[in-house]
Amino acid sequence: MTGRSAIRGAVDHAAFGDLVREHQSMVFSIAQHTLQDREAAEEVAQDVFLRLYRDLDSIESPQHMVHWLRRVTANRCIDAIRRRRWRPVPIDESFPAAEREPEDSLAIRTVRRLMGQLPARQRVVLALRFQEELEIPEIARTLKIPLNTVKSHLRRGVEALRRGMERTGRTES
Amino acid sequence: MNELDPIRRAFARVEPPAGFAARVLERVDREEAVVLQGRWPRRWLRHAVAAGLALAIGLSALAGWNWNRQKRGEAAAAEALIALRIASEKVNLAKQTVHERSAF
Repeated sequence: MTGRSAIRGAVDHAAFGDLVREHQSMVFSIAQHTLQDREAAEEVAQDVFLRLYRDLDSIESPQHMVHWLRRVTANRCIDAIRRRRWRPVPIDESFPAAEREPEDSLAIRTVRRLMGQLPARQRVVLALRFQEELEIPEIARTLKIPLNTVKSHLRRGVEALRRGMERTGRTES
Repeated sequence: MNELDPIRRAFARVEPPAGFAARVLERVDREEAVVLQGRWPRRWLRHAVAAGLALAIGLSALAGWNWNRQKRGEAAAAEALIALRIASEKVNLAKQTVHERSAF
């Protein structure tokens, strides 16, 4: 049996629910970190899974599915940011108290706030690098952009976050 | 502490709101219902278009065949007329020769 038919054959309606539960945290987190808006992140994540359901025939293996989910989520987020001049929701609304880690420091909240100000592709590159811990070549393959572009997005994004954290630190002290 | 630590921690995975998977499955169900509703007319439409195309092709072929047959018939009739005219001229010539000889 080929990988392709294995995936399609094994996934009925109930099994698709298990697939969603297995990958929902990855998909939702990429959307949440990129869009900084829980409602918008849920909408994007739902769209991604709906598209996965329609495109299950094209999925060849579990690894391919993860790669596919990251790519489609990233592209949807970039589209969402570009379509409407995205207004990031204040961090305290975006990460409700119940969902926030107790040790959420000022630095973490600063990073999340600054993310909302970066260009769309930079945010996605940062999310794939620091959330998914992907290497640069893998990010380039996922987003289908040149290696040097990924490096440049990553460098500028990290630099912007670092500068923002320094500014916040100075203000606090 | 590594200066990238706050960034890494800020990017820790978060869970979607409760009931997320159920809401995705509801959307899948709604989409499947729409697909099922739309399937019959779409299939019917596909068949109707295919039948229409087949009919149009068949009629065109028949008209072409008829046109060819008519043209061939007209050509044959013209050839027959020429042959008759030639034959008639030959008969007239023969009659004329016979008359001329009998006159002597």
